[in-house]
Amino acid sequence: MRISISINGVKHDADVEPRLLLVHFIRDLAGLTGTHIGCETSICGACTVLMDGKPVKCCAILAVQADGSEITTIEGLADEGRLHPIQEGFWECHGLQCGYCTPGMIMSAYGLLQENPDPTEDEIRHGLEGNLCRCTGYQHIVDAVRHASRQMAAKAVKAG
Amino acid sequence: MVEVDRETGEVKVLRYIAVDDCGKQINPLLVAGQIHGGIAQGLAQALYEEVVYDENGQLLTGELMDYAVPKAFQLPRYECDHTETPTDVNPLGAKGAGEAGTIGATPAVANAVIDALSPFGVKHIDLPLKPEKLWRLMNSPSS
Amino acid sequence: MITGNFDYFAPSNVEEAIKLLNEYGDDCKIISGGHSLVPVLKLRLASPAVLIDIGRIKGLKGISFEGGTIVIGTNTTHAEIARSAELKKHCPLLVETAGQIGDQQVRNRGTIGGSLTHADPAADWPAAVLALDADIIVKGKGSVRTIKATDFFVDIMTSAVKSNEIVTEIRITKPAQPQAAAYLKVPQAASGFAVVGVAAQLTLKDGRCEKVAIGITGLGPKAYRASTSENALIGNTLDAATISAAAEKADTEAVDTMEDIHASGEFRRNLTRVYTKRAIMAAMSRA
Repeated sequence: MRISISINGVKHDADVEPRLLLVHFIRDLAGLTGTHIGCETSICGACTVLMDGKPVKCCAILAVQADGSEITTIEGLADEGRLHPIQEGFWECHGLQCGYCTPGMIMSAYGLLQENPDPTEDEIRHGLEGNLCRCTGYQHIVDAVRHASRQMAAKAVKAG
Repeated sequence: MVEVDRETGEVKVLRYIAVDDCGKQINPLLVAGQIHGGIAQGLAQALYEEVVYDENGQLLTGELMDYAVPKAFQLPRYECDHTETPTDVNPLGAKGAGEAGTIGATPAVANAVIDALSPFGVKHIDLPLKPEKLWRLMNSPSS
Repeated sequence: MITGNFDYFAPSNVEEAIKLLNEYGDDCKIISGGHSLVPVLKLRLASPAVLIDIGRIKGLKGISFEGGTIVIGTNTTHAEIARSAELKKHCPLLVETAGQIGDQQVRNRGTIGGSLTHADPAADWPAAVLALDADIIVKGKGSVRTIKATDFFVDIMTSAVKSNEIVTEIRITKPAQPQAAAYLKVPQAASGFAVVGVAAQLTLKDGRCEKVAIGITGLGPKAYRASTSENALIGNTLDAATISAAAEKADTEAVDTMEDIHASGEFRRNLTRVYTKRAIMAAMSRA
């Protein structure tokens, strides 16, 4: 089947089998390996990307279902080489150790902050319930999201 | 510090305090990260994680749908402090801190739950401390 | 993990989808969001020869109001329901239930129609649609029928929707004000599915319970209405003793119970009674 998916603003056309998963389209066809594959059963969240602006688990979506949609992966978050505030938060607050969950965690945090720009600790912890981390015990991830929330608010004030 | 729901056996960790000593800390943020991660693993072993087989030896917890790796909301904020006893076997005075929180976390959580259930005469519970197990202990004739 | 091979169709309207369903019969499955079905295909627990993606059909998505009736299209996602300000005002139970399903990624993909048709005994929606006495509209070849929520859930993973039919919308009579509602669940520690979930929808008048419906998921092979508890509440002033006594009967209708490594049937019965009490209390506290 001929499909066309825009990833980080670049259109990717390909002939694919219907059973090809979106995550394989992103990793193998588009060559963007920042999106990881973890549990394969839509629990762990390592494969989280934005589909038309909303976080989804792309190991549980067929590429053909995403035909015509706009995908943003972790590679698409930085702006002209400058880290997104969420990426900066993970850097500043040591929000990662092995890094396997990080791309998915950041895309989920993006979705969370879009819905709720100033979340409480409890709201962050629930907002990230679709992403598992085995290393950090989550505390520094929560701190990273708070950091990002403050940075984004400051930026919005400056821009506004 | 934990709270056990009298009616359902559900456990809530209210506070978790850890004091570690890895000698001279080279990067305190990394040390904290190691301790946090260790606590999460130890705490989850006490409360959630369990490998279950059926009578034929078939693994029943082979997926994350059934094997409970803890999520962010299932863990508390850890309150960490440290003492500093430098080692003299290296010039930095630093000791290893890799996953240092692990060892203490499992018994600390388990003992807190057992303490909460002491009015029921409970002195020992096999891990993990799942709600049904605790509910049964609180409702057993001997308690 | 890779799924088995299948042919894929993405019809643009319901009639076309029903035609395909009739053509391929039991060899096909409907896919909408896919967060439930794709893992099942990857584990090869199912290997349909044909997938019919109804996700591109226009007009099956969205929340609207027809007079006193709330109409929710089958392809409406859990996230869209959880975010709806209109529903929060007119039917907060839907909003509260939607917000407790899975996680934000699952809520962004998963749909109310998909979840209902899947009829997972641990899903959250069944409790809410039962408590709201919803009508589920189902289309087949040249036919449209209305299935009452109480008739919709048949057995484990089995709904009253036939293999050549499609759920098109869910219709709910706007609850009378002042209403009191709550959905409380005990999430399974790993998957987040409901070990037990209780949805309570009440109408109070002069301090008395004028109307009540309680939907329970997780306990039995299918979700059910806790009628015995409801009867113990209706017409009464809802003090703590009345609520407790009524909730003690919340597992009466469940003849068989689910049982797995996470909870025995006996424990699920206990959770059902306790959480029915808490759900009614929670609803009252918001009235």
